[in-house]
Amino acid sequence: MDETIRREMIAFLPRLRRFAYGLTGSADTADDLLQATCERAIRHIDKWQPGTRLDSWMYRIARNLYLNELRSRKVRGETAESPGPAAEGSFDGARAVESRIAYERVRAHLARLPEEQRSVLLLITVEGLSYREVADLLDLPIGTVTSRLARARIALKDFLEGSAGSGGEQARG
Amino acid sequence: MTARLDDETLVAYADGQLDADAARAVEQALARDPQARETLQALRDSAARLRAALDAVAAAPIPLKAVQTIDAGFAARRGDAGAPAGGARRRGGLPWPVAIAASILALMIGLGGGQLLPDLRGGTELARLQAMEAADRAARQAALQEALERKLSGQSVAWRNPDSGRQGEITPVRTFRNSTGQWCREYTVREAGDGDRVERRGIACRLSDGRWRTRVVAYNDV
Repeated sequence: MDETIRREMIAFLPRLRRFAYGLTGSADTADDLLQATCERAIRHIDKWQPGTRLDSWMYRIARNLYLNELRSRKVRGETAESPGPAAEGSFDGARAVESRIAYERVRAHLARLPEEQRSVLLLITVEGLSYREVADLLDLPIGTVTSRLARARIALKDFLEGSAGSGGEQARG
Repeated sequence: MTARLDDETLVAYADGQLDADAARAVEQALARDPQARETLQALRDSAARLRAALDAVAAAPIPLKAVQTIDAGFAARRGDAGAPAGGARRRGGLPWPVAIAASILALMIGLGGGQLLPDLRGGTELARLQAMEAADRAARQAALQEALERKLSGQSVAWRNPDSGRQGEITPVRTFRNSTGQWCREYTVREAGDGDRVERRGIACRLSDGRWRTRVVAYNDV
């Protein structure tokens, strides 16, 4: 039993890290969040209910830790959201520069979204969870998830259409 | 005339989250509304671009420390002596010293980021380096396939590229079936080259054509 959970947890780490990166907007912070999430998940593994989704449970831990961090930074008077410069190459060594430029634009847009929209957008559109799963994970009515997602998706579409029309710098593979 | 499709319905339809009746109603509305069809396409395109932008993260190696935290936690549950939960203690059976400061740089060079090296060398020198890295990759890949396909857990396959001086060892450590019935193996990689040492762990699963596809890689960042 434990061995199955251990393997499932490890196999899930790349997706958890992707979520952390989307949330925080920086490679270093994402890895700190990944590590903190693993430590907390291990400490509280008995609270996870077998038969429920392990990935949802860990996404939830990661997001709660992230929110705590945002709050404590606010208390300390620091900027709530400050995605630093992208860590050059750490995730993307072999990929072309043009995809990095395209990514930078999407990332900049993500960082400007309110956290409540960003989480929903990442969990559904990138991580592939259903509306119902995200509603359970975030303890929200499904209607709230639906409307937050729609706002985030329309904003993303408008942003990408807008920036595609401005000048010829759009990176195309 | 029917009611215009609202954003929420269109997004939910694009995501395949509507039930069959609702989806059919949307399709009828779409058939009469070219502007909504355009919006739908733009919604799908922008979602694909968001995913593409973040997929590089999911494909990149993860810090080994996270894997070790999980392993140590489960080892502690089993009651293994001396396995502190949450620590980044190395597991037994890995005798190499692990002191890797520039693991990201090592990884980039080792895995083909060599074109990002400063262009101080002449073009031929750069080409020679790239060829050497390609040979490293080929040797590493061949050893990985050999180890996963033919070796029992605990038995290693070593490789060496005499031109670059880089060498490594790949050892399967566990074998299991995943939820889709594929055979998968966890393995360790120890590798040393020009002044760097890397320790990585991975999980690869066997495709129906016999190739092994790596699903998770963790690198050491100690």
